[in-house]
Amino acid sequence: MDEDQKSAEQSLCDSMQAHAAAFHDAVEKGDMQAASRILQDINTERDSILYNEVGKLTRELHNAIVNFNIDTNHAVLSEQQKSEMADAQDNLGYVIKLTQQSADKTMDMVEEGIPMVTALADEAIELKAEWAKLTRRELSKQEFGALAERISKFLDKSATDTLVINEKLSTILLAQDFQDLTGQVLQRVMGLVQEVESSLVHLMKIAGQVDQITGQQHKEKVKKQAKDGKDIEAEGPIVNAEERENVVSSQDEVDDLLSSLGF
Amino acid sequence: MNKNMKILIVDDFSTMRRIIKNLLRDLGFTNTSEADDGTTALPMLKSGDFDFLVTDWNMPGMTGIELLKAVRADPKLSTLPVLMVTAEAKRDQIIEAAQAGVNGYVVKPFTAAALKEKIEKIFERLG
Repeated sequence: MDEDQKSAEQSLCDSMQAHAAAFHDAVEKGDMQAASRILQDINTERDSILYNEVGKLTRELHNAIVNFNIDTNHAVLSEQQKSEMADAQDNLGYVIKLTQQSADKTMDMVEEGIPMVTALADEAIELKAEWAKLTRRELSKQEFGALAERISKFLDKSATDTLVINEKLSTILLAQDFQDLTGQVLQRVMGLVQEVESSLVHLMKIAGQVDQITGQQHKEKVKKQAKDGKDIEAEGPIVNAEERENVVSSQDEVDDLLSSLGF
Repeated sequence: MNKNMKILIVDDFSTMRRIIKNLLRDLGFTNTSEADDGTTALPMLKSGDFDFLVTDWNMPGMTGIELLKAVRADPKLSTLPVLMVTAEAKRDQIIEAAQAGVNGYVVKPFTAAALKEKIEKIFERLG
């Protein structure tokens, strides 16, 4: 593209020089008709080169927009024709859904399992104390009979409840499958983001060329500073805490900072 | 520390509310309620006699820092102990929360031990 532009500029330059010489001759000879015709030729040539370049840029702009994966006609598209952008949104929604499901399922299992384990543990502790009494021969025949029955019931309950708990643990294990699924989806979305970024860079280059040809200049935009006294915006989890200076990377650092403030 | 104290947990993610609720239950606090952002939390705080507020920062509607400021500005609520449990980890944010009168600040992801320590510290200070 840059090469093309250079050669276009070169040919414009060559033809200008040729025309200039002819214009000079015509003026010297006093042939005003020829001189004004040459002036018109120069204008026509300049315009045609400009139009050519604008045409080329328009084509590239079109290609860049097509590669950008934005559907300009979202409403009339069917499910299958959805753009990759809309697709990415669905994908991210899917990630939220899966992680939510998994978290809910895991916590259901834990909430159901904890009371069962607690009950078994409590009974085991009590039976252990009774059993110790037995070994010290502190139990009457009647008490021994009651203990034997309790132990029998406990063993039955242990056998069935541990099976149930085992099942719950397996369910928890399986509920972690979201990691694999969401990981794949997120990788796809990351790929799309990369594509969009390179398309955007391409668009910016084209915009730069348009400005060059039309001779436009833009004022450098001044970055807005955050106003004093305004609330600091929430940012969510810091993904790269180690690489940033203005963030804390552990609870210890939070505590240090707070204690330096007199907390 | 009164284990029956009434605690309001504010977070926009139900998973996180549930995790905090379970951790608090493990610590012996069972009297908990939930809200999903500051806008729903504030009326609950104003009408209910809550003893402790645990809030996230980044929420739609009214954020945790706005909720904290609203609580401190309300004469009835101004002394309510507030613990911030959030993924927000910028130094400026922690300083802002401290200046707004937060009683404790825990960054996510956190451990049960960290949460317990902060809560104990808050009530130790308050006497």
